[in-house]
Amino acid sequence: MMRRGIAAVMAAAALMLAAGTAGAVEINFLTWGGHYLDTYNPMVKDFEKKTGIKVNLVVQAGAKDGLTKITAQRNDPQVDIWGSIQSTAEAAAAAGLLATLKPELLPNLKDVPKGFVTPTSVTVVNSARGIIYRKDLVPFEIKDWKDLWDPRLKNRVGLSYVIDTGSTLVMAALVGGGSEKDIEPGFAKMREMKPNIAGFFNTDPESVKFLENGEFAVIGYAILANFYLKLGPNSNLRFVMPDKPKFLAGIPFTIVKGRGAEREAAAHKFLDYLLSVEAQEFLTGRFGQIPANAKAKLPENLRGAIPEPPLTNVYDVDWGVVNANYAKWKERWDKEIQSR
Amino acid sequence: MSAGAAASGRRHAGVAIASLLVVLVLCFPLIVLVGVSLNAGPRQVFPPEGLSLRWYLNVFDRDGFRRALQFSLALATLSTATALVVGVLAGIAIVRHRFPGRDVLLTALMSPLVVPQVVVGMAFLMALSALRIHSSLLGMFVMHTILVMPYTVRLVVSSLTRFRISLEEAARSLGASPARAFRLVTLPIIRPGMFAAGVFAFVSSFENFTATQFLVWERTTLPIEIYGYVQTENDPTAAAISTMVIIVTAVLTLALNRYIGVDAFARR
Amino acid sequence: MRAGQQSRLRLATLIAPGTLLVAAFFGCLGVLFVQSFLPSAGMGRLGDGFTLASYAAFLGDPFYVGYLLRSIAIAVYTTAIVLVLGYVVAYHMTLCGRRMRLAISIVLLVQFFTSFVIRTYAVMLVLGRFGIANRTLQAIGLTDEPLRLLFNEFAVATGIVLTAVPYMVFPIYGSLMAIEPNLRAAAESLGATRRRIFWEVVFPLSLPGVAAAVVIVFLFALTSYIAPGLLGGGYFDMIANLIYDKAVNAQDYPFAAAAAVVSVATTLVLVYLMQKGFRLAIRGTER
Repeated sequence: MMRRGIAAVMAAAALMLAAGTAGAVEINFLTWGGHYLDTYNPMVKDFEKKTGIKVNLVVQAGAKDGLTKITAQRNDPQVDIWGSIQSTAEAAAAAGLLATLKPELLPNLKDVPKGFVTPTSVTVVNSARGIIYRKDLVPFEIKDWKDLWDPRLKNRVGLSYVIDTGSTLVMAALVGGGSEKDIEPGFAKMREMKPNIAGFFNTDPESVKFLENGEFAVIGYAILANFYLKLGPNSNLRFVMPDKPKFLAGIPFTIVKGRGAEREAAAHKFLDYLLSVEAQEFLTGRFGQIPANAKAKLPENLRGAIPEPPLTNVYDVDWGVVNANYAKWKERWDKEIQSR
Repeated sequence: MSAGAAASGRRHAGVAIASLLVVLVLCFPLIVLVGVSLNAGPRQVFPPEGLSLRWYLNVFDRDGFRRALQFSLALATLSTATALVVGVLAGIAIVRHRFPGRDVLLTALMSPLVVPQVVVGMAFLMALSALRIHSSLLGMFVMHTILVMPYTVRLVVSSLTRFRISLEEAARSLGASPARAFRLVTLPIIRPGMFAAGVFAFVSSFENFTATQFLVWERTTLPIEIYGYVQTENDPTAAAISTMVIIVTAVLTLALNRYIGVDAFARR
Repeated sequence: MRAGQQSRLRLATLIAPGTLLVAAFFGCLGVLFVQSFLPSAGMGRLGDGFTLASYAAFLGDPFYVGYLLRSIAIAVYTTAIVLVLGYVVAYHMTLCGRRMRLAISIVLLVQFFTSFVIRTYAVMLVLGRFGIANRTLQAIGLTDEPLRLLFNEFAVATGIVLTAVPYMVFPIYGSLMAIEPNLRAAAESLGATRRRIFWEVVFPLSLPGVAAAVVIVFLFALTSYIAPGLLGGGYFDMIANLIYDKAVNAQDYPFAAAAAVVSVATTLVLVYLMQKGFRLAIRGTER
């Protein structure tokens, strides 16, 4: 009797549980920790309140680490939506790990410029890329990429090949009249810059430290988001976004393939939420980044501090070409540039 | 010891001077660390530009740090405890028993020291994904236990080697059960070694970044959380956290010194 | 017979957990080992089949083998320097008073609790452009321009030496403590000079501790990753940096795995030879 009662209660509980899990969709959102997590946490809660979809934040140490994880899980995907950088989003797409986006599930996409959308990704925010330098250690005002070759910067410039997947070399190629499809001028320009190079760094936090202790007076190719909180009228740092060409570091969001229709639809809903004007303005304020949604406005305190959209003259890097040549260029870079 | 030591100390003035110079140089990173953590501004510079405790307060203000600290402490405690049990058991087998493959087992237990951390992390990520184990907790626990095992095994083996088995045999011949003989005779002797092993194991788990980054998932460890933080807010908070960790561990060590003695760390 | 069975059961219980973990470790490494034979297209893409291409790419290019050779060379000489420094401190600890010993122990222990990145960063503040060394040299007028002490082999070696000393001190101190004090007194009463007592009594008896410490420090130096990364400025990357770059940045897992297999195998051979050498030396002193 007793036993039957317990069985009945358990069966009822199991039924309720099954119903509960069937009703609530949960998706996993892979992104960076630290400031990113603090930013997305309230957004995820707001989204859950509005839609009933639970978004679990899972952490990558870096975008490349995220790619490693998604690649390792390719037979049993665990991530639904992934925020990374352009080169890794392109690599994942090329490896067939990503779902093709369904524009009909992304109503806010109509306000996002075409340049920020690929079949598998939407850039949600952009960070300006440019040169950051110590005003007290550089004897002139840096305005253009070409200034990196100024002899007054002898032994003062810090660079990185690995950050943003070889972007520094692409920039040098453009300055030398080439591009990622014609890389030779890039190597020629880099060899020319060698007397100015003080050293190379591997991570963004490293570059900040080197700049603060004066090892580097200039970071030749930096992302505003990483320095944004350190700028201001009292700061000895200055950021410039040179024209001709302008570079943007986009944060593309992608949806991972093979997680089922229900989760894929939920991931689209979350992506659309991130593209809404309200979410875009919140993100912009948190990072000093440029919103992708053309209707989103810059917060008052950011006016003048970051470049105002719409931006013209932005160079669109072909990441497929960069990814295909990354390792080969790195070897040459190590032999020809990163040597004394 | 003391009078003789003082006399020989005077006779070995050269050794003392050279040694103190080395120790002095080793103090420098600690001074830098404390100095950086006390900066009034957001720059990590030494000497500090103005003094302030704001970065210490910042640690407690942030939910992310608190959660990561909890997780790191739990992970380090669990993996250290497990590695200690494994180390004691394997250590007893290796020192007291003669069996084929004894040297191989010892070498294998020490082998995580030989493999670069990045290789360990990638190997675990790939293997766990292939096995469809996606709990970062389980994966990190197993990986950390393996990574800290060399410290526990080595210290237990060397403590046991110095200790004559006859004592435990004597206890057993007096009628003590093996478990009782172990608890009453062997354990007190290897306890200092276990303490030192525990400290090394705990610290290397607590600090691990390179291998752990591949396995972080829904929870982050403190080093990974700090790394994520400094990506955008490269301020002295990380130095403040490190300073607090050092103060806590140094105080704990000093307190335990009365019971165990820092000499325990020499028995490696 | 029953006793034998019981003892075998006991032995099995003792070694089972350790063996299980070791098996898990090698199982995971095995997955990576298998990957080292797969064709790679870079950026995380793997082909099917079996190829030695990654091994050929690593071993066939003096540029890549150079990372390994450079790492071995710097590990050998930094270990030698650390041995001298660590021995001096350990020896001093056996001679000094109790308080001094406690003070030195705490300084050394705190090193273990301070992250590598921070200890390495401190080296940078000494050797840097505006670092203490350069400021001192400029103040006493030895140089006008700051010297380039950072971002070269010298800086990397300094970083390794300063972070490795604590690992050397404790094992040596342990074996020095184990030396019977009467031995030294006896030698002294026989009229031996201090130098002779050290080289003929103290040092040989400390060899087991030296052997343990040297292997640990050598492995520590050989697998250095943070010191070359921060202090080498890209001009003195070591083998761990290469493997990391290939694995994470280039996402070329087969190459990274092949490079790891070759360097781990080389390391094991070197450690084996080292241990064999020490065993011969220790046996030599026992005669």
